[in-house]
Amino acid sequence: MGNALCRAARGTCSAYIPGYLNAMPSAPILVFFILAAVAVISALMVVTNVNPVRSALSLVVTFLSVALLYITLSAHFIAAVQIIVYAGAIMVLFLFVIMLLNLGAPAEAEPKNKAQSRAALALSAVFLTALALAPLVTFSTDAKSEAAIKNLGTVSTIGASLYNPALPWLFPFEATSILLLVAVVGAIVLAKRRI
Amino acid sequence: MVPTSYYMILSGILFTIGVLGVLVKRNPIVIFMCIELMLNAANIAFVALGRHFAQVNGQMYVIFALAVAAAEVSVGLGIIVSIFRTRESINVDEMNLMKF
Amino acid sequence: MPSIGNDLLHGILPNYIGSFHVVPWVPYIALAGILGFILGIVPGLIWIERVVIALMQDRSGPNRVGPRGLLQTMADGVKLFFKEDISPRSVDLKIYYLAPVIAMIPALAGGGTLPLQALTFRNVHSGALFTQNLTVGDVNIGLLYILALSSLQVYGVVLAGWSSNNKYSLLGGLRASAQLISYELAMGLSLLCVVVMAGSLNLNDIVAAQNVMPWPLKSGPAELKGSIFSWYWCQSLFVPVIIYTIAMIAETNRAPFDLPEAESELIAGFHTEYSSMKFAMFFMGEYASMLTVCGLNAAMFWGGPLPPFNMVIFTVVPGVVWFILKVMLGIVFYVWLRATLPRLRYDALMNLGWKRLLPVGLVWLFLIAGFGLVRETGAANVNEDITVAADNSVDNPTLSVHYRPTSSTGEVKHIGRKALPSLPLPGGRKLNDDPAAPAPGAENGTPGQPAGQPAGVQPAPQPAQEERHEESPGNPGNGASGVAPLPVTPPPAGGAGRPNEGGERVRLAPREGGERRGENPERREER
Repeated sequence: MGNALCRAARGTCSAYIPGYLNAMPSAPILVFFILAAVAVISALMVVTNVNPVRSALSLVVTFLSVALLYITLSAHFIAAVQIIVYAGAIMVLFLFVIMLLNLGAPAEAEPKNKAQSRAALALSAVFLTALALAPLVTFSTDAKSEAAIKNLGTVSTIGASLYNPALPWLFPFEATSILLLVAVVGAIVLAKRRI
Repeated sequence: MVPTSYYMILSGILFTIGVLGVLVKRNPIVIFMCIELMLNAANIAFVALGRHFAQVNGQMYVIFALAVAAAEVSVGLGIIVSIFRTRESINVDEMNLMKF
Repeated sequence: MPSIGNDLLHGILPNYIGSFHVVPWVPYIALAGILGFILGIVPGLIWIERVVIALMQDRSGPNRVGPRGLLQTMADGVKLFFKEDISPRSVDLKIYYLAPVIAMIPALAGGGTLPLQALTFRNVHSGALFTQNLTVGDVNIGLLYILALSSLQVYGVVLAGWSSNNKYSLLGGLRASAQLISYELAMGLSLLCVVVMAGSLNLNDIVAAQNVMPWPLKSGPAELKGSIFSWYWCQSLFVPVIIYTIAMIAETNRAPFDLPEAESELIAGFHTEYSSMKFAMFFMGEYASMLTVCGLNAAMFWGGPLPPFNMVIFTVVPGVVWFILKVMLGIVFYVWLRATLPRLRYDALMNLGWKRLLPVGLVWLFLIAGFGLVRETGAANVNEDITVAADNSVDNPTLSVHYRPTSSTGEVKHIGRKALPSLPLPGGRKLNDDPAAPAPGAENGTPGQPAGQPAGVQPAPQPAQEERHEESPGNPGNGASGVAPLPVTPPPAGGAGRPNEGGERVRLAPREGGERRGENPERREER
């Protein structure tokens, strides 16, 4: 693996390159690890912060790094939509509600349920091991070539697949528009005192 | 190219953090955020697998997940606002009635 | 090989200067140019604003420091820089310090995909011509990138408002978030009209699509090709550009939509507690975002770097200069509006966004899509023109694709270009005559079918039209909720939707404040 990466990175990999250089990760892997670290740390901060505004901010950071991860997966359109929808609309909505309800101040001594927290932690640990082990077991390194995936996430590919009547996405798409309409009406009915 | 399994493991970690948040937190807004986090984790997995099989399908699922998340958040936050109006508090442990 | 001087007269550059290969550095040149321009021009903008407003209000404006007060903003900057940096005791320090930075970064980064100019290079060895766009990132999601960054801009304002721990700041932040969410939709719809017409999200493609004969004409004087009449402000029938201009002013929180910092009601709104350089950063961020949205306006509706008429006296001037000129005209328009219109009342602002601009934008999107079908069937050769022009300018496609920093964009363009001419098919649904497509259709559910991917690419054009239709109901969906929990709007005074009706703000200001306080009593006690 290391050898192959090294060859990819510097053209050839001859014998005189010392072993530690061979083990050095290539640039994409480095980028992945940085982004993944940012995503995980800020996701943890979402949970650990007591202040909802800070939680929301950390979540925005997570979303941004996830958007960059999408770019590393050559899903450009999804990355842009992720920022527009999640960071630009959904999280602004969260912040708006937090500020509207004035929940910004740290919660007044949240009653801690120790047993529940401990159970949650244990459960999460089990869950995490299961989730983390699964891909290690199932995934071999038979990924497709760069050329095959290069244009997978561009706007034209996405649009052409989404609106192609021969592919199964057109009907769910129409159904989604109805879902959103229902959500609009529902939100107004819920939030407005007199209609 | 970064192996697909890396993305899958990252997705698993994020998902677990989301689950943990939903289980531990009391503030429904933060619980909501953790649900969004879980959705995002799933989306990463979708896109990574889509790349793994050189299929556009993974990204299609993400688009629908985004739409559903937007709908869910608008309704959910509407519910939270209306609960706050009637109860002056949004601690989930106090939300134990079907109708206010 | 013709002489270099002759080439330069036609705007053709050599791809090597000595042994220095210029082409790969074009994006970096654009980056340095945009950053330098935005950061360098801000003092100039403030000066322009003050001078123009002074002219309009018939007073003398800045005239003490430097000739015609030119150095006044420099002096102000120095003053701000040396002011004491005050941070109140009860602020949330980290976020308080972060907010101005967050306000500034998206504004600066927003220029990343603006199409400054299409540079023509001559390969010094083969003599072949090829184009390279003077853009930082010539990517297929160019427009989405700018929209994404402009949607991130709200965080600076909201966080500043919240972290200041001041009720006026908080109100300013709340207003900003609601305002930005509301007007983003109208903005997106108006831009979608252009995207439907151009068939691409890449801003360079959109500019190239404006470089044709104005619509009803199929042939005519060459001066009209790519002229002011073939730009999208005219081709999209005037309404989208009006909607976009209104939305862009609201997005940047400028008068008459400057409710987040309305000085008569909120002191200074979200930046009440900010002083010194932090305040200056908000200021710079605001002006930088003005430049970005004006740049988008210029690129989408006003032909970007294209000269107003295809005549030698205009085409001699490089495209960048035209682009900057258009941006500056946008800025002057901003100032003009600020000097002319009074501030809107809050409910009038919401009414304008949701009840006027959004429906009109939706209807117009449908009209444009239908009109597009008509017009493509009528004049398919217009699109032929586009493809020919593109192929001419990219004389040696392999070469130019090769030099592109991201080679993927090159191929996308080809898909887009090929897709355009087949748009006209009036038969609508029957577009799937492509032999490859039915095959994957047989087994819909199987994701493992490799044919699904290329087959998906082929019939792109027709559905691409529908995309715009269907996306529009979706957008209000996630945005409507932005205002849904906001019970501030329903007061009986709501009827006034006309912008000018905001009227005398002295009278309206106290009423507005009263309504808000009445509506959410829960905020009053805390904080």
